[in-house]
Amino acid sequence: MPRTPTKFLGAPNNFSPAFTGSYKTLCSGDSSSWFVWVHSSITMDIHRCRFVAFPPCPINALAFSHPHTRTNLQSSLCRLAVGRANGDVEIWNPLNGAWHQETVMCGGQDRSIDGLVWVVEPDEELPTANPDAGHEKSVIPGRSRLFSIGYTSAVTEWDLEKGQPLRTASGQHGDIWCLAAQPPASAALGKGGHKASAAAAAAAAAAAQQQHLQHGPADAVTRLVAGTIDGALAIYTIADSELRFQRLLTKSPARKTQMVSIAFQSRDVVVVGCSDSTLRAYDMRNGNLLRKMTLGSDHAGGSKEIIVWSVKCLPNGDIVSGDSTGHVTVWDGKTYTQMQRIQSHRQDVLSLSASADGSAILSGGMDRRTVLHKRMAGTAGRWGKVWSRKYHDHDVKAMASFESSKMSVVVSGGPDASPVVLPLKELGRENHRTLPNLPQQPPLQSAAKARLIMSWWNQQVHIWKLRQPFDSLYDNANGNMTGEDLDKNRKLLKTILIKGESNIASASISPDGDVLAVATSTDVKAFYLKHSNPSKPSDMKVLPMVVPSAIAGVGARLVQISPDGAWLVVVQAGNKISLLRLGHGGNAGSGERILSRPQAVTRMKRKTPKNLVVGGLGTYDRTIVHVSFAPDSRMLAVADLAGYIDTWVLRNAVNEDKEGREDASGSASEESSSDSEDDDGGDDDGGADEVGSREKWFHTPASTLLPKLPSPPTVLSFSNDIPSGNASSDYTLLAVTTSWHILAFHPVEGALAPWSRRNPVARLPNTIRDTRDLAKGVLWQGARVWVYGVSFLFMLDLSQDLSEPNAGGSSSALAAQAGQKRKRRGGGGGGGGGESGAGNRMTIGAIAPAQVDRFTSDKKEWQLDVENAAPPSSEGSDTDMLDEDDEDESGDESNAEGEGGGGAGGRSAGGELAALRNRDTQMDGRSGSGRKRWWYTYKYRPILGIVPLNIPGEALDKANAGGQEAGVPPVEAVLVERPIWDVDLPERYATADEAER
Amino acid sequence: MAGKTDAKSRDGASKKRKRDLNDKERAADVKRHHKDEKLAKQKASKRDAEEAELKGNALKVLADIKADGGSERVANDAPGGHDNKAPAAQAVGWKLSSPLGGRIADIDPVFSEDESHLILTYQTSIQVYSVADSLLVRKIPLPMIKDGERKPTPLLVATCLSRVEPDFVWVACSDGRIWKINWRHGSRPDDTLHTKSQTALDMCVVPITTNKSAADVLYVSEKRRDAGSISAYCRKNGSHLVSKVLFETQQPDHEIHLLRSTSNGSALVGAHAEGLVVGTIQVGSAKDGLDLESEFYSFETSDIVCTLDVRSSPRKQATSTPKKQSGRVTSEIIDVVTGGARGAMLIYNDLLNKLHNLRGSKSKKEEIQARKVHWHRRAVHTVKWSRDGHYMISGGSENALVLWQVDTAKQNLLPHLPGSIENVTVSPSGSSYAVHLDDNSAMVISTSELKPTTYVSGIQSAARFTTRPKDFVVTRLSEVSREVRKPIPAALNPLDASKFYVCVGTGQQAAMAGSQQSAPILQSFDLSLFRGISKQALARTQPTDVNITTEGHAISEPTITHLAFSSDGSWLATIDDWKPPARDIEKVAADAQEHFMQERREIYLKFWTVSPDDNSLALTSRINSPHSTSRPETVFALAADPQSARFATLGDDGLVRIWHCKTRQRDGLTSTDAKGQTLQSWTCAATTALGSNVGADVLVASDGHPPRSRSGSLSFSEDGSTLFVAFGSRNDGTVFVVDTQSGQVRTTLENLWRGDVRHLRVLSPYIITLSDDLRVYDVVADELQYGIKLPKQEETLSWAGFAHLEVDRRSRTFALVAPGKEGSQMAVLRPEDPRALFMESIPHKITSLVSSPSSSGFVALDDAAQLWSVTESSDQAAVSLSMPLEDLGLDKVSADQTIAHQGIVPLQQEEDGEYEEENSGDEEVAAGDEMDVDDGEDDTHAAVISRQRLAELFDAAPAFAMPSIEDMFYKVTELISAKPLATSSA
Repeated sequence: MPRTPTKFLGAPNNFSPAFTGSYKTLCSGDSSSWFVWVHSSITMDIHRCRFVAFPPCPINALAFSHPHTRTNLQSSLCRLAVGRANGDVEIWNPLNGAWHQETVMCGGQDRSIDGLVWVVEPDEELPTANPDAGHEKSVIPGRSRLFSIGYTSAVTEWDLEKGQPLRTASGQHGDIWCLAAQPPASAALGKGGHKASAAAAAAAAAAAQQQHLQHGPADAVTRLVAGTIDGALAIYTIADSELRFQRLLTKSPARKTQMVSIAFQSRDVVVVGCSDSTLRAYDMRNGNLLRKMTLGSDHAGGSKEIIVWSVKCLPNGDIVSGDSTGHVTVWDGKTYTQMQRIQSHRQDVLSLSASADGSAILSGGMDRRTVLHKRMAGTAGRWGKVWSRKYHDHDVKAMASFESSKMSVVVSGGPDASPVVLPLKELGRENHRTLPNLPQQPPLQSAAKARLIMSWWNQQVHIWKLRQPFDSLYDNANGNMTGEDLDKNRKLLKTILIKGESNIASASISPDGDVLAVATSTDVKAFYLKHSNPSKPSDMKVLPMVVPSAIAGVGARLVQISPDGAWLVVVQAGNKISLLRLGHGGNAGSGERILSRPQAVTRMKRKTPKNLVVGGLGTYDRTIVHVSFAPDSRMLAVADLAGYIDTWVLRNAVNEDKEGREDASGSASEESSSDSEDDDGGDDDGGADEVGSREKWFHTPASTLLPKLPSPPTVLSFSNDIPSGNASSDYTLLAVTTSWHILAFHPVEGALAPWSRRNPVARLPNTIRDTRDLAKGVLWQGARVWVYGVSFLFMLDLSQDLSEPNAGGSSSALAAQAGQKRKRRGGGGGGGGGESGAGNRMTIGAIAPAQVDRFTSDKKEWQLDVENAAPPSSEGSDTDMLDEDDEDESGDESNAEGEGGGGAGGRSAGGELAALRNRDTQMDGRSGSGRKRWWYTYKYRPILGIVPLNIPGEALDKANAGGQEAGVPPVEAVLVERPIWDVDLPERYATADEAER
Repeated sequence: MAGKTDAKSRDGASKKRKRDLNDKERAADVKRHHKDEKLAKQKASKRDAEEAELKGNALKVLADIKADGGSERVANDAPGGHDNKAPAAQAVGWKLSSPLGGRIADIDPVFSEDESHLILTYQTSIQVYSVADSLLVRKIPLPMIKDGERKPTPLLVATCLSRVEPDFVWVACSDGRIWKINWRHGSRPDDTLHTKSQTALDMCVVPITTNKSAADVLYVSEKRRDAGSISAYCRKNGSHLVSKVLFETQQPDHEIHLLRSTSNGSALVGAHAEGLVVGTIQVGSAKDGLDLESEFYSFETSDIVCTLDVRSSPRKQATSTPKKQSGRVTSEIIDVVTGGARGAMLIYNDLLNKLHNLRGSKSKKEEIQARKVHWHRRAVHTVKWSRDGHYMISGGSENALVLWQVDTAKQNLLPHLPGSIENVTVSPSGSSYAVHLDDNSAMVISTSELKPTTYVSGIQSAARFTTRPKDFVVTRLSEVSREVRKPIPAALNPLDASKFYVCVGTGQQAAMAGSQQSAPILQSFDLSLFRGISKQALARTQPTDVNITTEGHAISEPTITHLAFSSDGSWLATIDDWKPPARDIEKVAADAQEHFMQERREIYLKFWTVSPDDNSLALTSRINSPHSTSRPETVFALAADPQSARFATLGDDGLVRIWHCKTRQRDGLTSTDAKGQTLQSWTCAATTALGSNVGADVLVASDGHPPRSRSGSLSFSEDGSTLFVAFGSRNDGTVFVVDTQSGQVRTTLENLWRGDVRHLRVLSPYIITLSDDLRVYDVVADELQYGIKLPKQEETLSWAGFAHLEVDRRSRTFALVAPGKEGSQMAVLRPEDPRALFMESIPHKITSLVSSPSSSGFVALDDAAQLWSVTESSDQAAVSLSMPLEDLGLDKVSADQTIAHQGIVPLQQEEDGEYEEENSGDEEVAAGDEMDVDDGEDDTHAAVISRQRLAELFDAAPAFAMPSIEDMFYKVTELISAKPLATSSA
């Protein structure tokens, strides 16, 4: 279907003509805060906004639950905890390089996370019934517990399942500055990556008796040690699933000495980095100071005493410290003497990380650099600086390493808020990847009918008004629009501060913009926003609504208001789902709204191996992360991290009680259609107090038929299709997963939509499959779905099949042309296996050769690629060195990982540039035949969120007049960008010699 | 004047006849000038075209100096070329010296084994310097140009000390010749090898013992048509050359441009455009032939390798565990460091072992992971391991020597070196570094104190790049100009002709990069010692900053355009000029551009006091924009009054200003400085307008014609009473005669030049103008004496600036340099006689030509930083260039030869030699060959006698009034020996 631009807007004067075919700018602005763009050829009007001041929060702490995993089970249970300065703890799943931000446990006012420690209990093997049958032994994975400190004298344990602090303990000591878990006694056997030296192991054996006094499994971690600001070491016991202060291990004679960093050398020796130029080794059994290692004084002109910001112990017992002079110092673990002092940084070394085998040390510092050290070959175990680079825009404050059979990465973070994933084993050969600092769930919603945008962060809710639709803006300007018009077009109507300590977990606004629901971890609040077409703040009044006490006092993780504004769904901690009817108040004229009593709905029981529920993360993976209403508000779907989807339908309570039980699932479609007909009238009259009792939410009968998603969902959304009544029509529920499965369901039928059947993930365009960033949300435009992530915006037309796989070759050829990296990926995702979880292979500046050839003078012939002994015909340059540890992944995981791991140029510098440079050609290249099946742009980044706005009537008519042929309704959307350069980062302590140019 | 206009109206036929006659005369006169039929025809047609411009009998066209010089004799870079020359030049009495100086090539300096000598490779010679006193011991010229070949001059690519015979060096030339040279004695190559491919890109020398006799094996990387290769060459049994190809690259364009070996020759490391080649070489047992077994690994690097160094150390047994020993472990640890074109340095530890293990089992496999350090902003020009391997020494265009401590990753800098660092060599004992800098100097720096102990400084004037600078291997925002863009102002001290002053930039690259050639620094150079004495900044410089903008453009510094000493040598006047680069105004609105440029243009006239003691300069007065209209105007010329301390300038505003100094007064009292010296300041004494005082921009506007550039030159008459000023737009041809007393324009002479006037000189009563042609005009007789056509240079206008004219008032001659296609033609003429006293072509562009009132003869500087002197053989007062110590026979001091034993006789002879030479005035000094008369007298002290000093001694009085012979003897010996010669006098 030939498709021409429906609107051809005059080419802007400062925009290159090459762009005019595909989209126009109405206003270039001054790059400050407000852009408007039109994609005329695909008919979406985008308000490009930068005025939403979502503040990214500095990362203070990073921790992996399993720094070094040996089994696939452990890998699957491994999570990264990211502690931020606003008290949030984010749980990320590495997912073999997909890096999915699963949940955010919200902090609160004046809270911060400054240290995180995971304690993982040892795995337990269960005797199986028939061990010879070749079944895998069933293993109860050790439970993972997360503890945090926050520069107070308290230690907090977190409940991952509920997303709340579980318990807190504190003792008679000053603020805790560092925290470490005592390794279990069997650590010498190589558990948990803490292989102790021989001497330490002996000491550990001596202490084994003491171990018997403890409860629980013999080798569980039972104690945490905290170093405090007043120079004391405090022991907290965590045995028996509790957390309490046990005693002070030692008190520093000099009270001024602050314990800044801590690491266990063995079970019995703890090394503490202090603020008085020393490292101290203490015996855990009696608190004796074993050795004091001094660093001397700082350079002339510096402060007198050196602060040891970070300390780590290597598996061979050697100690590594990073200090305020920028030195990384290696200490002999047996003699506690200095072995080597390396000037790695120009400013303070703030964080350290070591590989599990002790062959590599990474350090991060205030000079923004991350430095890799390795043992140098051919020298007697001396370390050498191998690689250094500025990955961050600010200090590198925290670092954590993770190694599994497939991945080998270090995650670092700092005040620039973005975690950076660095390859550990492959640093210098693979690119890094910057994870988004913006939340996976966009903190953004629109009241489309009222043209309001609502965004929230910390304890604030901001409501903006975008007054004019796009077309009128354009018409006013007639091509020479000024920034002032645009500036006037937006208005901050209200800033609502939520009282209480906790930060906002979720918020929702009704499409009319009259009800706002806000959830924190302790409370749920609802507000009635009284306004009619507001244009200045005084036009809007905020009135609190009474929330039923059953909901209000508990707090919630998710709230969502249905599209018709009649229902509020609240997902509480522990995955309790409650639905509240939003009724109108007594006098309809005032428009006041009230909430009915909540109706609780239950989810289906799913079979989970019992051993997984008992140990590991428990039922954490059943945490509900997505809630979606059908466009007619008559169906609700939720999805959890495990990939289970539950749906409910709204039915007349009396009928449903009967039918629901009797009906076989086969007749579900008929049923739902009849329901919707029935209820059409009921919705509109509203007002009746008894509505809640008349209509109730019931399980969709076919809900059980919905398959478990192959990987965690990142997006769950109903399309705008409303079943028309005939048998074949159904809702369309779209789920996008971390591995780029784009699955459309018919929830009433409980079946995959035909489009999904015809277009499996393998048929997706390479551009989409190679995208590393995850989808954050979708926008519907008829059959078209716009999927966006932090750096991309894709369009897929679900009414058309994607091109055949072989036809996709052309796009991959284009892609290869665009960025050399794609070429390296060779046969569609083959290269993914060689990557270690961060970015893709480096092409420029790699410090290791991809291939070594050999030539002997006697034979006078070349032997190409001696390492892999590849056949000489391969001509080399494209064959990557495949990781020898690479194992075949099983099932659809492998499929997913192989394709999903790739890089669209994603975050790495070279690819990004290449992508930007070639963006136009790519677009031109694909604008081939007929209506576009799919389309993409990397133009907007980083995207906080995209929300739709309703197009007012006249604009709609106009757009329809122009674009009727397309059969695609026009969409007006607000795209909010939050570039890091627009963010005020904290001051850096840059020294004079550092020229930033 | 009227007569001339009459002459114009004459009919062409008679003119032609006359000129044909002249042609014949000339053909008879100028012997060297062989003309074939074709040339003659061309000339004839040319002449027809220019007929109208010729003016009567007065203009005798003497010679068309051809640009191509096809039939001309070309002065060779090497004196070897002199051998087969016709003796015509000598017969005339004027003589061109062999070139001296030149630039140090981009080849690592070589230390002799005992570190007493430093061997530097110049572009056409090997020069041996004494480390102890920085003096040139020997210059060994190399026959760069093969007889009868006129191909592009080959370059020297490598110099390596022979490991077996430490008195020899191997020098490789890019055309595949490799010379073996005895640097201690020989001046001619002892042995010449030819590589098979007739190319050589790099070379290293390794001793290999076969049959119990050690021999040098040369590993040479060559470029072949289908591949790059590494071959081994060896002289078997002293004569038989055997060779073997060890390695061939896969791709033809991967020729190996860098080749280094470990000291024992067990490993070779080469670099090609995309990666490294690492090989091991094992010596077989076969009796004949070159039995070498090699194994090479090739892998890519992330950057273009600009420099590399390899180091081997024995493997410590303690470090390798028993498990490792079971595998194949090389006995040596080979550490390689490479420096890239983008500034990163990659260090490969234990590289060979890792490469071997790649093929082994997985357990031992270690990745070839380099360590990367990055400090240099641009290319790493050189990097070396220290002897113990604890340090790396690197240098680049940051003018700082970087010392990397490997173990602690600490970095020490030796900053503020005078130029970017090109090469570093670590001495055999590791106690010093030899550093070759971009400003054509080399120094030896002690490793302990980082203080220079030896400094060899050549002429630092801008020279053309023979190879691509390493910084520009990768594309940069701003390019460096390969050719010298402007003539280089230079001068000889009027009192001491051995002091040569030349304007230089901060290093070669800094001078050549940027929008204009920068030369803010004055180097004073002693021609008798042939070394730089000092450098002084005359304009604003950026000695400590990085010389690039934040965007990466090169910053150009001001350039000194004119330079003149007052007649008594106590004042120096300079003009420096700086224009903002064009890129600065791209963003400025069009109407403001002109204003913006004018505002930032810097033109200064500066007057400097020359200290009588050490010739150092002190700024006395600075005149901002000495010539200006509505904007600063270019200064065309600067001239010094030959009689008094006065200077005259001519600017584009059509004014001549005469500057004089006066005592500075305050409140009627003479102001003095701290030492009680009277302070003086320079002011404009007189201003003479030549026509209207308007800027060139206004002229254009008023005439409505396309812009016509104006040009000008001026010169004082010999008595200083008159100033001759040539000024005007193209083809104006006017010379104004200005009375310096009254400042009045006395007369105007028309048609004295054509095109752009470049130089005007006065050799009374003649004024000589150099424009598109040369004209000699007799002022007294008011007639054109003769004219000479210069070769046409239609293709490159920039070349035209390299035409030079200089007068020598002593010998009453003038020298003329005309640029040709590949070099320059130089001629010496008398104003009376159009027949050249001397004519020769020089295969380089001459960038400046100077003479001194205190001596006769001319000194020319070319764009390879070489000095040529043109002197009359019979003139003892001629300017002279020094010679190496060897030529004086002064370099062979050894401890066992005491002065008491042999002291007197050789000294006496030496003195005699000098004496004779002084008396005979033999001009063979510069050629240097004649001085080698006494071969046996090697045992004199290493001292240098300035010719002027001797002249002072012997020319002090007439022979009858001379002091006694004994006194004279002691005076001479004092000159020669530093310490008093107590023993010899006893």
